[in-house]
Amino acid sequence: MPQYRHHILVCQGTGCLSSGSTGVLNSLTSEVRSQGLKQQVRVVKSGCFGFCMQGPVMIVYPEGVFYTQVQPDDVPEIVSSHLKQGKVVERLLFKDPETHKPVQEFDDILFFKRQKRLVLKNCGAINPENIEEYIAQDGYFALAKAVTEMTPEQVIEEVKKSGLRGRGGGGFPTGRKWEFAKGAEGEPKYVICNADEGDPGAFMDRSILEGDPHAVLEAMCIAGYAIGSHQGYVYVRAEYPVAVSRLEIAISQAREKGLLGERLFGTDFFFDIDIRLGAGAFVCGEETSLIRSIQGLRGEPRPRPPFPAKEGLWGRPTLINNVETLANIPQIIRHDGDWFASIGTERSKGTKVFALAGKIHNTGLIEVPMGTSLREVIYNLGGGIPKGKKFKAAQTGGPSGGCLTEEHLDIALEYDSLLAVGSMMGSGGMIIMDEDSCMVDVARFYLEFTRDESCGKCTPCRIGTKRMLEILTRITEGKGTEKDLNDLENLAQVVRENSLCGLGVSAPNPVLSTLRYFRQEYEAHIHDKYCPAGVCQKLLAYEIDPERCKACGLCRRECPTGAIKGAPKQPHHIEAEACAKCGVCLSKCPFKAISRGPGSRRPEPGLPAEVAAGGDEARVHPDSGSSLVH
Amino acid sequence: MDSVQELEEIRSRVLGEKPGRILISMGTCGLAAGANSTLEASRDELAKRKLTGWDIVQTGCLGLCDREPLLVVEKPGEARVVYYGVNDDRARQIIANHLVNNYIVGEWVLPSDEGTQTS
Ligand SMILES: Cc1cc2nc3c(=O)[nH]c(=O)nc-3n(C[C@H](O)[C@H](O)[C@H](O)COP(=O)(O)O)c2cc1C
Repeated sequence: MPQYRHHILVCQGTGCLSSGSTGVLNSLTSEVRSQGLKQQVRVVKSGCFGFCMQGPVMIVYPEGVFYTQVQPDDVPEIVSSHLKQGKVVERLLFKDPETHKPVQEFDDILFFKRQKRLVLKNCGAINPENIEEYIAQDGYFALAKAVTEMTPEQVIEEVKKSGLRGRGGGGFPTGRKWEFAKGAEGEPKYVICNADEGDPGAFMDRSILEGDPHAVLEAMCIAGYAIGSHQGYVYVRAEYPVAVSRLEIAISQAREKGLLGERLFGTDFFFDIDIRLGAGAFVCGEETSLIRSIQGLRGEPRPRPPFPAKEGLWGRPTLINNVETLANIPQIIRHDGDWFASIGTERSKGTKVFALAGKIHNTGLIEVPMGTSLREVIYNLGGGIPKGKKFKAAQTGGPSGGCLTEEHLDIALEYDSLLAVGSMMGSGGMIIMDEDSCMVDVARFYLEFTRDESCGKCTPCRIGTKRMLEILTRITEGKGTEKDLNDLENLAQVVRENSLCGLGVSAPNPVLSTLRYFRQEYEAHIHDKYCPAGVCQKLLAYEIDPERCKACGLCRRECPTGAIKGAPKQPHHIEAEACAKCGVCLSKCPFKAISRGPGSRRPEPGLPAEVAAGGDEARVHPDSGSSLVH
Repeated sequence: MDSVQELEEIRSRVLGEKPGRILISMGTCGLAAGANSTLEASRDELAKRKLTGWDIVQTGCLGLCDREPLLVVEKPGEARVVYYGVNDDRARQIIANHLVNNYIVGEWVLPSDEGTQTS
């Protein structure tokens, strides 16, 4: 049996027959023979494809090319061009007249058009596992330029001129840090890339390492040249397996190509990089803890000064920079400092990558010039809040930051303006909250995180975060008092002023900032035993709709606290005092008669006259008694 | 590496190649959304249809983690097109329609106003 290279199906359905497919078939058969392809091409008559209005039609396999409105005159070209040379006859391909609107080109998609992708420029555009693709995008040209055309001082000067500030959270000027490390006494010196990324909700560093690892490696080499170091480490959490494996591949390819190792670009400069895996403790992102962790010690901070630039890894001068900070470096060197400084604002230069998460349409990563408004990020890039809900707040800076509210929508996103309103840039994680989010619960969530992640070395952080969490938990359970608010504020002050490292110093921020902008929510939980967003479990009210209740008694029998009362043929009701809010009744009711909601405000007894009046009334109503409190 | 000329040679060689390319976003978000089977299906479909001259490139995250797996088609001299939610079935159909028949499957193309809201 001959091995055909092509099978051609020519439609011989009624529709195509009437538009002339017999002529096409005959012409094809004879053309195949006359062009000498009889052993390689098999022509088959086929039934209807259902595309009669575009007939006569044929399909060429194996590719599956679909030709429409083929006339006998077209056949010689199909045979000579497609079958002989493998070139498809484009003009005979199907074009849908209706959906043939101009296609959205990549660069026209507003999501990308409205961004300024410098750091992310290669992410999604090149193969991170192939160093040549990085080189084709001008990769390693900055390193070549630095070591062959510039002195270390000139490199540092460009970085200083660029105005680049650390993207790891602190915003310290990168050029000055390099200068300190260069000036520090001691040998050898080290360069560390901080890829710990412990902030819940942030994933830009991971994406950079996964999508463009060579940019970080190249930057570390440049940094090594600038400060006089020959060894770099990437400290990356083991929970990022894809990033780790791409880094490993990148390092070995760079070594193979001679872009890491001895005599780079024919100079005396040499540099190598190794990976150190972290176990994923938040505190290990803090530079002094990170350094101890690399040394094999427990991840705990130590007081600064001395700063790592002076006394770092193994007690030697160490430059430590964040992934995103470094990813900016090759472009700064390739262009120059002034180019970079022309992007962004007066005191915050360049771009910032934000990781959008929470109640937002596009969870993902975006990069915009510093100074872009929060509104632009949330609505024009993030696509706004899903389900038509209302924007309530954005938490920036993760567990170390604070929230921005509706009044801040037009704030420029940059280091100083965020600090001024009690939040911070942090690493660029941005969690969006809508009207269904309870801000007390949000603060409790972050405090739970910092309590868990506190290393325990210093007392204010270890005990302070625990006590603060206890108070917040009490409030969300409806057991808070006015005094709790005072205690919370005092404790926040103590923890902030006395903790050893940034973890403790910034841990109170989410509490202080939600207290500043959403104090009335705290007060509703405390005085009214009411969670306005309907989130806090213990404050939710369960109700039975008497219209729907069929008095089957199922909920009454299932209720573990006997809070449901009722007799046969009478709609049942729930006694709020006895209800433990477990939700069993809700899940058991076959008639969907039970609902859960924020309930009504239940003021404490013994409060000023007008509130107390509400309390009296409440006592009459079986459903809203306040005896839960005392 | 001894000199910048070596870098330049690699750059012009890689840029000169420019076959048609399929880019599949394979960051953690893409992988979680099933980009591995998108990749497998694409390879398989190209092989089945004997379409040589197409490169499949695994890339990183494009930022639209919500719409993963994302697949970008780059045909020499033509517009880059981004498809979203590309499972293995869609990948096969994109290859049959777009690569082979130059017919862009509009339904799965990321619209230009993606990620924006007029408010
Ligand atoms: C609790 C805590 C956690 C931190 N986590 C990170 C982190 O995950 N990644 C990071 O780059 N910097 C982190 N930092 C900041 C580092 O200590 C350090 O300032 C930073 O890596 C310096 O790099 P940069 O100047 O490029 O920003 C953290 C700081 C603190 C106090």
